[in-house]
Amino acid sequence: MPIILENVSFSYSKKTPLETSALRNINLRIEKGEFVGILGEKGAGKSTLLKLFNGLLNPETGTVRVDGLNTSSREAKRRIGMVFQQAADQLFCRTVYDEIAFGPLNFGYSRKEAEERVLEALEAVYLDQTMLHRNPFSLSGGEMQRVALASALALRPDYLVLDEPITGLDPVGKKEILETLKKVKDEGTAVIAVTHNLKGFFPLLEKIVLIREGKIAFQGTKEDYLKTGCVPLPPITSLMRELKERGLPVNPAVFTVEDALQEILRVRSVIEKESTSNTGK
Amino acid sequence: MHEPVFSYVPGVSPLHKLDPRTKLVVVMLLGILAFRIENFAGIGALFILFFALTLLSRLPMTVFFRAVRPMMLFIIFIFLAQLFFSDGRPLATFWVLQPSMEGLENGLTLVSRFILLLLFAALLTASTDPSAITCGIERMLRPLPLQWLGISSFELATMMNISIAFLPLLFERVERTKAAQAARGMDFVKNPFHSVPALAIPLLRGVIRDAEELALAMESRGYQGKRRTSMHELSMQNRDWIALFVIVLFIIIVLNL
Repeated sequence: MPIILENVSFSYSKKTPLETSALRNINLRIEKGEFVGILGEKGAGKSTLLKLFNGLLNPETGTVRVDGLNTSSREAKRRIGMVFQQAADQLFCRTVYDEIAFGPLNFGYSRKEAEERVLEALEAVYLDQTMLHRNPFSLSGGEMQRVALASALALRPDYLVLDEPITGLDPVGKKEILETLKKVKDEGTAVIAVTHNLKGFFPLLEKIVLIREGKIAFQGTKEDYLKTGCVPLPPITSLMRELKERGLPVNPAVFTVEDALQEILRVRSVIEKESTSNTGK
Repeated sequence: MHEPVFSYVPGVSPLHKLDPRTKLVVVMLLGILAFRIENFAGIGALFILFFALTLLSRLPMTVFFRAVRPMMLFIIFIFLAQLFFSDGRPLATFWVLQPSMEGLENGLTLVSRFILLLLFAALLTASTDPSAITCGIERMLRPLPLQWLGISSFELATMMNISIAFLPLLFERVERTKAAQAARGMDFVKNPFHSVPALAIPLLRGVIRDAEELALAMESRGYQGKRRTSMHELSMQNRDWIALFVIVLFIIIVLNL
């Protein structure tokens, strides 16, 4: 069963002079095990959309169902793990252990069960057990974000929802989070990320939802997205597309510098072969 | 870096092992006792008890005296006020000031009481993990009909935990904001009318935004302020009952001194 949004609209400051419509007529379906990227400009309504998934906001019209459940139900909340941008603003316990155990204890799991989940989540985010008794605020940005991730994973969610999870991290921290997300996805959890960091995320994404001014401008596979000629794209993909438009016969569907290099080298060898066979004639 | 006052010092002493509720009750009882006794023998007995408990806690004495140090100015002030402004037999005369015998006695008892209160509180916080203290308070408040006030003991415990965690971060934020404003030429001493809003507005905005973020993050992890399981399941052991019995006995003896 997936997350299904049907005809969802949402406005902030309803029935006041400050009323602003954030989302209009959203129809969306997210399957288990997918890696979905939600793209769009600042203020397009991406974060609002995320908050509708786990009932932090309720839609004004339309319905949001998680595996057929209403988002206000406890079980729906457990199935959706959520991580926000600033890890430092989400943590508050005195030790990493208490932080990760916070969710399971809220759902009334026994101490033993909670401990099991803490260790499991810690392993999932590649942190070692010496971290458990440290103060989360003494950790680096990347480590803090991984603790925030672990505290969401401790509930064993079916869908992991992330709002700009790698913004503001150093390159090492970014790489660590991306690796963790890939692993989580490979283990069968859907990962849904709002992001501006296409360089890091694009290679991992399977499905793309593009939001423009509160409406869905595109939803579908990454391959279809490339065909539509939509932006944003990762810088390297934009470059390849530009090269193609200028007449170089490259395949623009590459997302890493390494792949782009291979593709350009391939095209060069093809051109060289053609020119030698031409001069041979 | 601020010197840690009233901070937890991990250990495995008999005092560390006691249930936080036992320690809370004992500190409350001793605090009341400190203000009930009138004679020096009782105060002496309380100091002896404090030193005995310190030995039992196997912690260095400096940990506890650090708690008294920030209050020293206040303590000296009340001692001097008592000494010079109590009526009674004059000890000597310095210009217009006349320290009296009664003043000396009053001053010494009052100061001893304050110091004892601080020392016992420091003994509690040094030997008990703060999360265990909040857990103990939560457990003690649970039977109270707090729901009539629209709150639960669990909410109170969470509030206490969050306050403890965020106080140092708040100081950090103040320092950061101060540095940012000073970098733009703000003089905090010269023009307080400008500098106070310049500090308070970004600070409040930041704190409220953080609180909102934290609330969302907590809700996302299923927090709802109701009964939840806890990592510290408290249970009173024989040693707790023995400790309470000994302290009650001590109080009865001291009151009859």
